[in-house]
Amino acid sequence: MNDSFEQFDLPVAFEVDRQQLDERFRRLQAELHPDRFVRQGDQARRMAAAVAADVNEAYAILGDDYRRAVHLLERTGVAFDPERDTSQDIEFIEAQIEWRERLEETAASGDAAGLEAVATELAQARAEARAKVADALKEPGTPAPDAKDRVLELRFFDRLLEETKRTRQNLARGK
Amino acid sequence: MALLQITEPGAESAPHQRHLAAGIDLGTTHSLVATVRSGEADTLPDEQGRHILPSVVHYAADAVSVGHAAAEHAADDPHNTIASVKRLIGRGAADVATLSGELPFRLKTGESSVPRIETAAGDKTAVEVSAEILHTLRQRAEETLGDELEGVVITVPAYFDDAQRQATRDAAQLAGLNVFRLISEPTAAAVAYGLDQGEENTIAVYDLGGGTFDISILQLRRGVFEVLATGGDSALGGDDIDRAIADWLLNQAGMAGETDPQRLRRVLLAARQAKEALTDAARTPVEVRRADGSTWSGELDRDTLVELARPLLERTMAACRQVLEDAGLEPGAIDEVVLVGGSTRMPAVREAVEGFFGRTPHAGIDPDRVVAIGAAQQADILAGNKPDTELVLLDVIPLSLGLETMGGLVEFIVPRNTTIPVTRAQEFTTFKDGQTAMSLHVVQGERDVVDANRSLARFTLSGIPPMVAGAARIRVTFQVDADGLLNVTAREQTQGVEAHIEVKPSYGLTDSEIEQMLRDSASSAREDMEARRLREEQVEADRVLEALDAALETDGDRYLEAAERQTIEQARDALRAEREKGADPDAIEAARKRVEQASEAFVARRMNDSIRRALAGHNVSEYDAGN
Repeated sequence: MNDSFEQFDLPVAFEVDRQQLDERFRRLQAELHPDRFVRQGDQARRMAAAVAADVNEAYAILGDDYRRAVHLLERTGVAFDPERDTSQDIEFIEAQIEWRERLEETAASGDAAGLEAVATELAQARAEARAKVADALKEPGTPAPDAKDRVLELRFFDRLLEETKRTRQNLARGK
Repeated sequence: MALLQITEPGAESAPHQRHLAAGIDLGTTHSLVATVRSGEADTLPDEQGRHILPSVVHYAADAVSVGHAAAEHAADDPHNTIASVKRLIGRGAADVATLSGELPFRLKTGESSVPRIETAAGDKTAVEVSAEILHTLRQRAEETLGDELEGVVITVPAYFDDAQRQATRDAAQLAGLNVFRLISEPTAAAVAYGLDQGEENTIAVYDLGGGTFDISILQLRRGVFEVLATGGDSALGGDDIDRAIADWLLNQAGMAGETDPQRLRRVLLAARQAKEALTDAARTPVEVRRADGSTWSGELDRDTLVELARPLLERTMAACRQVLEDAGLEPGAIDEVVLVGGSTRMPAVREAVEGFFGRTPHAGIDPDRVVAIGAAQQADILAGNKPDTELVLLDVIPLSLGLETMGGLVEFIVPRNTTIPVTRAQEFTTFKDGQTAMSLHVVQGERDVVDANRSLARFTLSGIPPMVAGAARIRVTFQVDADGLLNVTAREQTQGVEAHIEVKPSYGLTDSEIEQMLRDSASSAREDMEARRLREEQVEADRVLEALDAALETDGDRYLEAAERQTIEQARDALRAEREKGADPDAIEAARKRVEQASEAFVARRMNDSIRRALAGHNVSEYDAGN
């Protein structure tokens, strides 16, 4: 079972019902966690561990905007290489450089309020990037031609937000 | 569906039959065993009524003693009296060297990666010493309950890495225990207070023992227990408060600078007793005997105690602040606070904790026993004594797993806080023509540089079919089980050849070392090895038979063609015959493997079906909720 949507019996779509996803995850783990098989012999326990690992993985994919989008694209035959893929959109590459410079400069100046402002703007930009991904994947079977670039852009914002969070923590800690 | 445990409440095949299970808190200074009886979890006392077993093992040339009896040798035979062995378990020579100054016994590091402790009974590893403690607890439980334990849940610190968890499991194996699951100590404490029943909770577990302090922040979210952050001080505990009181007493009695060890011990004892008395009383009388035989009599009150304890409490609060920061939380974000460890009985500690987190901590359960009690509750569920309990305790991997790549850098394979069990695969290729082997170095930790992390193991893959450089595609699969233990397999994809893996644990025992210990160990010498192996195979055969019979009855008609069913039943009958003969463990094992092979497709079909049922069951409850 390689299709995460199928595994959770959820409609193949970019938007997922978070509550439904969580509820199904809990039900599946309640049935399939290897803890439920400790008295059933090693074979059953091993198989349960393999299935439970699949369920954990599918849950992680479906619960994350970027990974879910990648999964949707891969279903239609679009290949991803997380090491090498970068957006081909020149405009966006320029925007990336700008964002990075802003973050680095603000961090270097030790301006906590400034960092918070950058984080807020980044969160807004991320929301916009997410909306574009949702739009590009409106028809999950036939994604827009630029869908992959949109997804890579979403990844950029996820990563930069994570970095910003770390920078803010380090700043608060006085490092 | 017994095989999948979806028995309806009350439909249990043999409701009278309880499965014996226990929870074990294997601690640095003391250990406990607990079990659920008549619905209540409690720790089990020894024949003298003592619940706590000091984690001390004494080795004489021809006898081993454990617990109170062993602790009595600490003064007269320190080299052979092994205490605090938990600080060594799963550790390598380098870690141990930094600890050895604090430990009275003699360590040697030889050709094996696991350091040995020299004793009168020969060289012992931390795994063997821990096995003695576990064996004593197992005996206590089995004598109390009147039968063998089916399995146990053992607690480990949240920050234990793979090597330390594996070593703990190895110790349990040596002690003849079937481990249902390892769970983290703070998780067990939270379970004891029923905090796993909630929807979403952020929980702080403040654990102040005699010599160690741990603070953990857990998050319960939709049945997943996640350790957000953990911290503390491995050299801070109630003993430090005793010393502070003793210093105060010496000053009061005009005995500052006293050096006589016996008198100092007595003052320390008086200090501890006064501290304990002040748990309930506001003031307590204290007496100290001077060198000249005269006696100083005075009083210690709570205010003075608080003053004396303040610097130590401040240090624990600093650790709390740090761990909250690591978790990215404010003290106000903590929903529940749990107290663990004997030192949290002190009112001053409780007040300090309450003041810091701004909420009353859970303290209704004896803080020495709470971890063992939580473990016992989980063991009771896993043993199948609560068939209608749906909740499972999911855990996360506490430290990232990675592989060494070019230039001593780490490529992370499984990031920390990933829910386990988890499976991740990575593809590698050869860089030389005709290359048939390659080696992998697995590390655990959060740093980008290999040397800053813990080395877990080196794997050598061999049997790769010779091809031109870059043509082979070797898929290496990392599986982390529910206990956080890693297993690695490899397969060459283009030709489908299973690569052979040889594991060299960096700080762990190899399988053959464990086998040797099983043969040599004092605990197994007390039983006949063959008899034990036979019993283990019989128990496993019973498990398989019971599960299969139940599965055939409920689902045999639905999932099996007549011929398939016949094959399974033949294998099953052969296993039952071997099991009844009860003579040859190898024959039972072989018969069981044949049953497992014959029924593999059946098990898989039922498991797939149970996924569908789980999802369908959801739809029904959703429909109900909508009405």
